[in-house]
Amino acid sequence: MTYVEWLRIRNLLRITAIVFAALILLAIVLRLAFVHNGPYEAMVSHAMSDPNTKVTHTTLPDGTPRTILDNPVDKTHIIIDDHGYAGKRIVITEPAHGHDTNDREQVGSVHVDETHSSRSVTTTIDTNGTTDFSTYAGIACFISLILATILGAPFAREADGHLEITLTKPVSRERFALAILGVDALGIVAGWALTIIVAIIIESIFEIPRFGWGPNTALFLASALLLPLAWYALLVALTSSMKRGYGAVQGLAWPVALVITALASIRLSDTPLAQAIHNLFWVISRIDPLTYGSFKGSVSANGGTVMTHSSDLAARIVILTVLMIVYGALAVMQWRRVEA
Amino acid sequence: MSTVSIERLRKVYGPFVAVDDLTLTIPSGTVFGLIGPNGAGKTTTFKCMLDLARPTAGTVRYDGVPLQPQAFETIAYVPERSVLYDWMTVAEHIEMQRRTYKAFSPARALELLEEFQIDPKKRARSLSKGMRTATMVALAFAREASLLILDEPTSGLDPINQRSVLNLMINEAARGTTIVFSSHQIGQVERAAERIAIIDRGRIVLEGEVDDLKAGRKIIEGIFPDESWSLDGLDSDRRVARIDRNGRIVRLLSTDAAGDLAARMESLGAVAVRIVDLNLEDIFLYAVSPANETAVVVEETRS
Repeated sequence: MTYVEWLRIRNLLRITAIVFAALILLAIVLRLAFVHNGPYEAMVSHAMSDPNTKVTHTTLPDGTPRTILDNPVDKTHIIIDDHGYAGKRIVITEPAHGHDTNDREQVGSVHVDETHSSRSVTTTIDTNGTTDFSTYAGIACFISLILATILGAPFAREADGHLEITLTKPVSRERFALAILGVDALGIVAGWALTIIVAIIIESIFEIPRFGWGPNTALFLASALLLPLAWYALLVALTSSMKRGYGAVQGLAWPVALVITALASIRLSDTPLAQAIHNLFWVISRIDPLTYGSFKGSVSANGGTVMTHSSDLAARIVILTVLMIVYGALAVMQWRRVEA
Repeated sequence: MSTVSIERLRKVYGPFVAVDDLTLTIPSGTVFGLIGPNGAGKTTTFKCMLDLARPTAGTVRYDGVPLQPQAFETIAYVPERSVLYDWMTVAEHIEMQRRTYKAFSPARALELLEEFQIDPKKRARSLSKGMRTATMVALAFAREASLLILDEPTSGLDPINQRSVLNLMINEAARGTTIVFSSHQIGQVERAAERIAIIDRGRIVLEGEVDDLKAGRKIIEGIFPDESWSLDGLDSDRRVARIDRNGRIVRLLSTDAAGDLAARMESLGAVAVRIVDLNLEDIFLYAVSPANETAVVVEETRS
């Protein structure tokens, strides 16, 4: 009954896998090319080029090579412990420069801690810290949104010249529609999972993957999975009564949705017209799944990136679920009325 | 399965009436030909029969009950244009049918494709129009359906494959399958169909057994010495379905007693009179062709 849709999913995942394979290959090439010439090596090289810098190489009892760069003129002291495949730990001590609040930032597995004292700043960089699983989910969400956009017109594709096959199957239109939506949803989930696997593989090419699981990671994962599904449902609802031109809807959906989100979040000015435009787009943005796709993060207790508020995440999950169901129902209702 | 009963079917697209008050019964086990000019409403009728288009009014019943989705296990449809998925191979279409219909026989489909000389490994996009039609025919005939609805099933086929499709239809009919088909090739309809309906501008203008229609209708052709001949009541004779006049030549389409009408034409002064048997093409053309200015047309419905 859904064989054609399975073939579409298979073909799409095959293309996705080919792209991923190319990315893995590229990562391997980069790893080999920059094995002794990475950003940290460049930093050391730059520091060493300063004639005032004194460089000392030692080996720690566990065998870890340590490089110490000391520049008495700049009052900069850098200690680099090279753990090889397990990354580097870099401690930079330099004079204070006005800013006096402690910071903690994380980009993927790179953790940066900045500690201020009265006269100096100590920055500790750990290049192989834990990566909260929500980081992988965020990447997977983005890729799945692309897959959802490509898949987002299953009924329009049938209506574009194949209704005589589709509507003469021994199954009700509702059951057929639900089966198609289910198959596509599985395809999106498969693409999501594949992306996470590939992200871990690519990371492991450069360093040991260390997974972190914060208190909100599960909620983040759920929301990162529901977002592409809700987006898919929206596109299906928009295209399910179309026989032509559905590609334009798929192509324009992203820019339109992003413009709506942007206009809903910024205030152009304080004039009544600008306020009215803002309010209008704010209302429209509530039914735009991409509005709930902000991945603004902060660092959790274990150092992983998570959404700021778990209550916010829970609300997003509820809203995305409702949007997914409503758009799915709208799509099925329109499909029931399609004529060849 | 399946006596198909269509009652007062009407389908309107905006201001355009595609099918208008169409009533038709297709008995189980018959080969039924639906013929008509382009845009007459044949395809729309098929679509309404299959619930591909929702009738504006009227009903379609199969053995007395409205069409249910499960009935498609035993109803096969070949549309007039290709509905194959361009990006799929023919073999994948076979697999699609196998997964969809319990009675579908992949072996039979492959056998028919071989007969039509179609390579199952080919993608649909690489097939010619005729090969696509043949593929759809093969997929439909491999289903062992009890009702086959074929819209122009020989469209684009070469004469050899046209003959193959006709033979398939005749063989299926011999198994008791009900076949409803349309074609512009009147000769094929005449060869395969037991009953026909002629549809024009959405309405059935003639319907019946092919043999009956042919047996009951004759053309009486008379040549008069000049153009001043008089009808003298012929236009109101209930046995005359139509009168066409072309200068000195007059052609009467009779529904009965052709001999009497020929004698009457002679008595009106015709110098030469002959009675011609009609073939289905003549019947079709008389049923759907608009009258020319000089013709005197007696409505077919009168007979």
